[in-house]
This record gives sequence, C-alpha cells and structure tokens, in this order.
Amino acid sequence: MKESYLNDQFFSRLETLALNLRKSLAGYFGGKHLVSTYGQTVEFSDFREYQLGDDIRRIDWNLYSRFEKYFLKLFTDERQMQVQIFLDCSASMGKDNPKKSAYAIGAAAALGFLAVHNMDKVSFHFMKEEKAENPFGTMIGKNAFFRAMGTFDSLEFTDDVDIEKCITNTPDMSTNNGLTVIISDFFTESNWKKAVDYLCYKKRQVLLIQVMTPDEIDPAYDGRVNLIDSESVDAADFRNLKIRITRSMQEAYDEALKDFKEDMKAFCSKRGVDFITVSTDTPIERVLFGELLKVGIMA
Amino acid sequence: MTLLAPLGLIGLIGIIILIIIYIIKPNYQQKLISSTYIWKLSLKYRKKKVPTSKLRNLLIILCQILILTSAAMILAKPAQVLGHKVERREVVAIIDSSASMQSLGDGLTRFERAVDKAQTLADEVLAENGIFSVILADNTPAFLVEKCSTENQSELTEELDNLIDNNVCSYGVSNIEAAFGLCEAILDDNPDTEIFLYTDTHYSYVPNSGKLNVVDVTFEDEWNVAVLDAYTVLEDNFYSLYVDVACYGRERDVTVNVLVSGANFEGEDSTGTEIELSYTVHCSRDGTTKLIFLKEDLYQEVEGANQTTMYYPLSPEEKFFSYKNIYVYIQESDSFTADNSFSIFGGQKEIIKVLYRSAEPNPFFPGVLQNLKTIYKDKWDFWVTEVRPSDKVPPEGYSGYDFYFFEHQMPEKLPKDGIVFLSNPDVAPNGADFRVGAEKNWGGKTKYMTAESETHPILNYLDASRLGITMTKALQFGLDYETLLTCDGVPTLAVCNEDDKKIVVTSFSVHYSTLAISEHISILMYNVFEYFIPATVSSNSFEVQENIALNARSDALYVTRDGYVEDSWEFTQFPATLSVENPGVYVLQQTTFGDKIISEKIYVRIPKEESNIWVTEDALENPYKTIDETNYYNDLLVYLAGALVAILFIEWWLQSRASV
Repeated sequence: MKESYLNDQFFSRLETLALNLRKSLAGYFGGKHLVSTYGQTVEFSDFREYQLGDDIRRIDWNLYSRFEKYFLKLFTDERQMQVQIFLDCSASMGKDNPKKSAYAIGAAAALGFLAVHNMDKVSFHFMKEEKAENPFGTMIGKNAFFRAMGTFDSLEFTDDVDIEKCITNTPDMSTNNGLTVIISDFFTESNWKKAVDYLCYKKRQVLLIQVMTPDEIDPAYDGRVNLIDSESVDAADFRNLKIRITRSMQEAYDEALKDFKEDMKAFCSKRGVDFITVSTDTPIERVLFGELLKVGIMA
Repeated sequence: MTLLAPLGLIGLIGIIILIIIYIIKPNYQQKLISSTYIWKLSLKYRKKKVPTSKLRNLLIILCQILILTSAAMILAKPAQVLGHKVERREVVAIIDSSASMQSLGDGLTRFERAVDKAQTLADEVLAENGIFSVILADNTPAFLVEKCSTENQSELTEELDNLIDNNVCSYGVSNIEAAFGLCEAILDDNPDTEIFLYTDTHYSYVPNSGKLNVVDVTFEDEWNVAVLDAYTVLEDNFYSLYVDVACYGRERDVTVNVLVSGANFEGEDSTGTEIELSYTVHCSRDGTTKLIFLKEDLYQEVEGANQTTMYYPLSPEEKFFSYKNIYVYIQESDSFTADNSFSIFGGQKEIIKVLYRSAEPNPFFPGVLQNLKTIYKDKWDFWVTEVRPSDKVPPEGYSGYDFYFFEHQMPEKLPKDGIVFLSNPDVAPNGADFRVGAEKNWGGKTKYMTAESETHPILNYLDASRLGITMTKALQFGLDYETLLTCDGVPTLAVCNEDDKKIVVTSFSVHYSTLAISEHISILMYNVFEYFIPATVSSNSFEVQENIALNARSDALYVTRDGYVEDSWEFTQFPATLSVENPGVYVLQQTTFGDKIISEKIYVRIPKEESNIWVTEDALENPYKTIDETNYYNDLLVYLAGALVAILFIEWWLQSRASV
C-alpha cells in the first residue's frame, strides 16, 4: 500500500510555521520576508541623514524642528523569496521502500506549503538521472500548490541520479533570491558537493535533508548476503556487493556511516549550509517542528 | 587398533556429503537494499581484520570433517587389541557329557562318536602345529587337556582313549555355559580360537561368529523309550501306582511291566507276596503317557493334546496296601537303556513303639500321641501301649520301645533303648542325671515361661510367653542337659541328647499348666519326635547329581549303591548332603543307640530331560560375546567420544568467532 503524508490534517498543522530565510537575500517585491534593506512598508525602521537624490517627501520634519538637520525616516522592506526544492527521485529513495519515498515527498510538500503559505514562490525539481524536471513551474499561492500536490503520489523513483548535473543544469537558477532544498539520501557516487558549491556561488540559502530508513542506519541482517542495490541494472552490476556481514562488519558499517555524516556536516558547516539527517521512523512533524527549528530554517 | 564394527565406516560418506553441501549450498542470500554505498565504504574499515577469516573458515570445515570422522569411528567401535596375536591355529573341543550322550547307534554311543571326532580334529590341528584343548562338559565342566601341542600329543591321545575305555560319560546333565566360561581364559589370549562343541542337542539358533562350530553326534535311527517317573499314592487304604512313560524318536506300543515285591506284608515277620502287572500303552513320538494302576474296577482312557492318561484296574488279587519295592521296567532294545526301569520304595512303614505310663492317667498325652499317629501315617506305624500304675513293672525294667512316656510316677531304672519323655517326675530315675527338689508354688498365680534358647528345634513354633504354670518342681539338671524353658528362674523343660541317653524332662504337671489346653502340647511332642527321630531323606526318589539332604537318628549313616560296594559313603555330621553320579538303588543304613538297625532305600534316576535324546533347545550362548567386549579389547570409544566433544567445542568456538 502506497504511503502518503499529504492530507488536510498534515497541512493544517503547518500553517503555524514559516520559513526563516537570511535577511541578506534579494528576492522579489510582494513577499512577507523581512530583509535587511529598507523599503516602502508602514513599519518604521530607522533614521538617516538626507542625501542628495533622496525623496524630499520622506524627510521627517519633526526632527528638523528639533535638530535643524534633515533626516529621512526609513521603513522596513519585505520581499518574496523563491524556494527551490530538489527531490532525489532515484531508485534508492523509494523503489523498494515506499515509506522512504513518502517521507521525502512529505518533507518536500511541507516545505513547499510553508513557502506558498508565506507568499513565496516555490518550484519542485524532481531529479532524475542527469536533469531535474520541473513539471509545475514556479508556483505562487496555495491553489497552484495543491493542484501540484495531486500528482505527487504518482511520482516514480527509478534509476540513479547525478545530483551535481541535475542542479547545475537547472536553467532558472536565480542568484540570491531564496532557498534551495535538496532532499536525498546522498548515497551516490555523483559529486553532490559541487552542486552545493554551485548553489553557494549563486548565493542561495541551502538546506540539505538526508532521508534514511532505520535499516540503513542500523542494518538488521547478517551472514553471507548478496546485497542488491536498488539502482542496479542486473545481478552483475558493480553496485551489487557480496559480503559476509559479521558483528565487526556491522561495526565497520556504523563507523563508515558516522564518518559519512560527519563529513557532510563539516562540509555544510564550512559553507553555511544547513544539513539535517532524518530517519523515516521519526514522525515528520518532529522533523519540521524539531530539527528544522533547531537549525533555524523554521520560525 | 582394530574395528569391531567396520561397517560403521560407512559414516565417512558424510564427509563427501559435507563437501557437496559446501559446494552446492547457497553461499549468499539475496538482500535488496536501497543502496550499497555505505557498505562499500565500510569495507575500508573492515579490511585490516580480514586475513584470519580464511584460516578460520578452513579450520571450521576441518573441524566438521573431524567431527564426521570421529562419529564414523565411534560407529565402527574402535578398540585396541590387548592380547598378542597368535599365529598358530588354536582349537577348543567341548565334549558334551550328558546322559543322553550314552545313546547307542550304529555300534557307537554318541559320546564315543564325539570323542572320535575330537581325536580326528586334534590330529589335524596338531599336524598344523596348532594348539588343542579338550573340555569335558558334564554338570561341572573341566579341562581334560589344556593347550596341548605336538610336544604332548601323546598325553592328549591317552586322555581321549581313557574317556572311551572308562566310559566317563556322566548320567547327569551337561552345563555348556560353564564350559564356555572355561574358554574365556583361552579366548583372552587368543580371540581367534575356534570352539567345536560335540553334542547331541539341537539348537534352533547358533551364533554365527565364524569360530563356533556345533558338531552333531547323533545317529538318525536312535530312539529311546523311558520310564520318566513312577510313584505311589495311598488312596482308600490301598496304593495306586502312577507311571510316566515316553518314547522319543519313534511312535510305538510299549509294554510296561511292574513287579511289586513284599506286597501286603503285615507285621515284622511277614514277607508279603509278589504281584506282577503288565500293560501295553501307545507312546506317541514326543508325548508322555501316564499309566495309572487303580484298585477300582474302572477303566478309563483320556487323551490330552500331547499326553495320554491310561488306567489299569487292579483286581482284588492285585491290590496292595503295603510293599517293600516296586520295580517298573520296559523290555525294549532301544538306544538308551539307563532309563528303562524305575524302582519305588517307601511302601514299608517303620513301626514306632510308644509306651505311656502315668500315675494319674489323663486324656492329654494319649490324645497327642493319636494326633502324631495321624501325622505320621505315611511314614510310621504308631503302636502305643498304655501302662497302668497297677501294672507290674518288669524286673529288668521297661525295654523294646522306641519312645517312653512317663508321667508323675517315674520308673526305677531309665530305659536304655529309646527316647524317654519324663513329665512332672516324682523322683529321678537311676541314670537320669537330675535331682528333684522342693515344690515351687506361686499360690495359684499363673507364671509364664521364658525360652532359654532361640534356635533349639524342640522350641520351634512354641510361644513360651503363652505357656503358664501355677506350680512346679524345682529340678536340678546335670551337665548333659540343656535347659530350654524356665519359669521365674526355675527350669521347666530340659533336654539331654547324648549318645547313650536321649531324655526330655518337664518339671510341671499338665494339670497345673496351660500347656494341655493349648496347641503347644501337640507342637512340643511333634518337635520332640522330629528332633530325636528325624526322617533320613525327604523322598525315596532323586535324580543323578541332585543334592540329597541326609539326616540320621544315630551317630553315623552309611550309604551304599546297591550292587556296587565300592560306591559307599559314611556320614557322621548331620544334616549332610549327598550327590551321586550313577543311577540306581542306594541303601541308607544306620543303627540307633538302642541297637535298632534301620535300613532304607532310595532310587536315583537319570534326569527326566536326558531321556529325550532328540531334544531341541532355543539358542546357544555366544562364547565370544563377553570376551570381545570386556577382556580382549581396550575400548577406545571413551577417547573418541572425548575427542568428538573437544572438536565440537572448537568448531562452535570458531563459528562464534566467525560471526563476531
């Protein structure tokens, strides 16, 4: 039975949350995100001395009467951000594990909902092989979002994905105008780090969500096992692995996984990229209200 | 090391199966996972620990092969041969020496035939520089010659010749199992020793050890007619004669002849008459026919499944109420004649004369004597003479009786030719060796007695605590007496059993005791008679090699085989045991201390089962069985089992390490 988190109850609980983006982002007018620049809103922000070229209508005459100097009254600015969500649609994300794919879709949908809920633009990029498909375009508003949601359940997870190429080849990658979320298990030979570097170069705020199943965190099988990779083409595929899993092998696996995550975390930390690892047995609400709040991406 | 069950090595096939399992077994189970990415990374962390795994796997399969090998070896029963290997052929010949081996056929007895065959085999074995032993298997088998080689072949030949010349074959049974037991020592040294059993017994099952040979020494035309048993029963004052007849090897009519000697004799001077009886019965091949000679004019024939009962009516002239000897015989030229006749004794009852004299005659003791007369009616004729106080005592004293009973008034002289019972003596007779003291009176109060001996036969079944008296005489007994009962410290019953006097004394009157009104008076008198006049033998018919219990009422008992003076024995300690090797009539003679000569006869027959010369037994014991397991081999199973456990442990340990 195909699992799905996408229902009214799920989205209604998200309405209390909002995405918290960096204030230095440029963005577009019309959004609800406060930015560090001054704008035309009604909310007072600061004063500054008049300079040539400033609109004289914004001079605060009360201050002039007190100090005999011209000061301008500054107001805060609110911008609309563009949220890009890249979802890894490789076989490892759910070909044989519907829960993992449902979990990834749920996370993507939740972030997308938060974006449209805050008047941001959102686009879903389904990474398949070497390109990222964007079937719904850039969506603004909940109507468009929910129309798109109706097709999410039929999303297929097949083949393998080159994250680097998928992201770098995305055509509408604007600069400094929003958040890019990559949802994947990152169990890939492709150089996803280059993709992250590319996003950083584009001055986008980046969030990496690594989705793992409990079996991947703590494998429960042992003995002589022929591990068939879900992305493998046939039995002779190089991804498949014949191995005798012993207790020491399991310890080695734990160590390797730990190092892999530490490496990701260090890489992200250096670049100011947010990174969380979630297990599919963790309720998705806990991830949104806990992990994302913890890293500061949610407010 | 040798293998007692080499077929157990078939278990080694398990090794091949193990290897095949290792080859064809699915080495890896398929497991579909999302990605092998981390697993591949983990290999780098694991590589440094890998080198011992191959060695461990090798050790595991090696252990498993060793486990299978050990199990197969255990099934094969490995044993270490302790005895030294004897290259020379060794043979033990066991010659059955039971009575049936005397059966004659084709001019030779079976025994002679067995000895001849043993001699032939001995010549053959010794010619090969072998070793030959001979066991004569009678009731108690023994080596005739042990481990004979060519150096002492003449001794062997001489011993075997002696067997035939002296007709050493017994009239009893043979104990083949004991003979096999004698072989154990030889088999300890050389388990390859062959055993040849020369016998006439057919076995339904003979162990197929390859080294045990049963040689049949019978001759096909042999047959035997036998009087298996004969006895008399006193019925309605006349004897009925029961005779069991059988014919083995043939079915035919057999004429049974009976000669009753001393029939219907009366009194010591009577010799009686002779009665001859003859009757032809039909004997089936292996069944027993019972022929009954009855006094009634009744003829009845009843046939059973394998036994026929036939009746012969005795005419008034043929009836007999007593006899000295009954001789039952069959005149047939069969193969085995030792069982063609049978003698019955015991029809002549001994006369026991009893004198009873009492100053105050009462019904108690005469009544007891009547009881004894009934008890011993098959054994003795009781002649009881009661003497009144007014009767004149013979000047030389009383004599000519076997048992004297004096009550209250004692004779002046003690009789010398019989047992004397003195009850409540007023004076001590001359030679009685006791003195009569004052009267002990407890004023009408009953005092109960105490037994001074727990084992004396006269006190058998007597409960002294129930014997009470109110007064008694204080008797002082001499050293020849043994005090059996006392009352309040005063001796009340004493016995003297010396060579020249046999006396029982009670110090109290039956009128002042509970003795007369209880069963103890009969028990006491019965015990006295059994003690002083015991039965010499329990029966008049025994089997060869049977232990015959003998008793005597004198110092010595002489036993002689009738017609064979050289076969005689003298017994002076009783009870004694006699076992005889030859069938026939044996005379038991003794002289009592009253110079009365008592002569009894018994008949010793061959064992009934030996008359069946074509007997078949179920199974023959395997003489090699116990030797193989206990003496010759040091069983290695324990060591192999220990090794198996150790290897299993190592294999388990390696497996557990392999999963770490």
